[in-house]
Amino acid sequence: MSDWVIKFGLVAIYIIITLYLGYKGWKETKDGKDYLIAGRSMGAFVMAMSYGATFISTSAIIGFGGAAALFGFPLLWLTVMNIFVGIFIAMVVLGRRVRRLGLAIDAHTFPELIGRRYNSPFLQGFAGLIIFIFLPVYAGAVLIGLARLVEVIFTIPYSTALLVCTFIVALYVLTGGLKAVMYTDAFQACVMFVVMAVFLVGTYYLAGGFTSAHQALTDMVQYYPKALKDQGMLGWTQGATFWSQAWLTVYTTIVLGVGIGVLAQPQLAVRMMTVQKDAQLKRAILYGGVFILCMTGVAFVVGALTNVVFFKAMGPMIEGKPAISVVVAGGNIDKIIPTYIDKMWHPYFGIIFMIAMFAAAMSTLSAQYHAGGTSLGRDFYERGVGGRGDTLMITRVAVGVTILMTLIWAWILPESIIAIATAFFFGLCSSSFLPVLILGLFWRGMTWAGAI
Amino acid sequence: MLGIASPKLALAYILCIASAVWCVVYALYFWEAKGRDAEVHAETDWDKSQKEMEKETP
Repeated sequence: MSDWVIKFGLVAIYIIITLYLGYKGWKETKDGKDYLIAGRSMGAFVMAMSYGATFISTSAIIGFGGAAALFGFPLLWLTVMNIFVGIFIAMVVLGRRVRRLGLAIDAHTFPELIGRRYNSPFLQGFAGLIIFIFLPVYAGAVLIGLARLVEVIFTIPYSTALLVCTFIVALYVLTGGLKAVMYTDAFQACVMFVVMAVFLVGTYYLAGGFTSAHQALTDMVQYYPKALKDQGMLGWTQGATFWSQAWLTVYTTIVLGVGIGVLAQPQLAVRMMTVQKDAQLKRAILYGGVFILCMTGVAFVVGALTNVVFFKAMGPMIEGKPAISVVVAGGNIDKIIPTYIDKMWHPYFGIIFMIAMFAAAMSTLSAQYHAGGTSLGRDFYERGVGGRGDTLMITRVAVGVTILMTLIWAWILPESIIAIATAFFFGLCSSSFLPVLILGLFWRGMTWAGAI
Repeated sequence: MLGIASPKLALAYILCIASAVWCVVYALYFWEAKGRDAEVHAETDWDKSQKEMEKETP
């Protein structure tokens, strides 16, 4: 059986299951409440896996995995933040209050939660507008990650890959709303979990074992890129000089920016309002914590260890340069993980990994399309400027506009942009929404004037 | 430690696993915990003021 038959067969099975779940979501979507907030009827497992799959995209695996190949193990602090802040704090401390407040004031979107908490249609419309304008940049980065992978594995033009991926995701988000998004997310998260677990074990095997792999990476310090050393990095397992340019980039922009920014992500916060009971948020922590460890934890460890695997297989030099990941990938860190899969793993795993990345990107993209569309339709158009009409139809049109904006960004964003665009949006959400959300949840004295 | 040169980064490696284990233990401990479920108040002040504004708008 040829590789192409297996490739298309596995992708077809994956797409059929995804579209079936999208269809299930569409059949269960009867009104605006179902489309916007999944009818507030989701269970702990679906909610947790949907939250995790939305949280983790190709940005986290391809983009940040590539960044880990460059910066090394310091990025593991981001995984600690992702689990402790992004899962535990988000669900136990914020999630319960978000759910209760959302229920009490009948909020259907993240901006609506803020707008109604502060009794201000303006805040709702303004928050919706910010999300609609900037979310497509982040979504564009996610789409780039997916399209780059498809480009490498299927050897098709980048523009074709962009269009095909967009069409498939758009199909079920436009029709099925949040129910379709969450059902497909949960399935996609399961695929991601299994593949990333295999990816970790295989990489340790290729790199020579657990401690040996780390030691080999430590011993490669003399090959660490000089440009990064000049910025204050000491090596992959050595960290960075305190307060140097590299230290600031890693710990403030990436670890803190992304680690804390997750709390105010509209597409994530809205999921807290989809469960039936408070207890389900606590149960969701189990699935979420393990899932995130298996996603960013694995991506960052594997990303760093690709240097060892490439060096062992191709080293010590390639055309006069050290055989480290960034050199093998031609200087584009977004291509490090795809190149590693392509050169170091069996082609069949490449296909399975590609499906997992399909899952990662589609789950995040679908949530972004939905959040961007609801922000434009429900929050900005309906509530902010007082537009009239059928909520379902308005939101679907707005989701379509968001999809188009994302496609445009994916076409025009430069190379090596995935991690930067992700950090940008997370930082934007931290600065714009986090104080407003946290003070609004925990302090009765916080007013709309203070929020503005 | 663990072949990682910096003790801080070795700690990060361990904390990744420890935080996931903490999530599992916490969730299992509170698995059957009963939470207070808020009631829906669809007619909020915000909605009332919005409806009044709509009535006043020609």
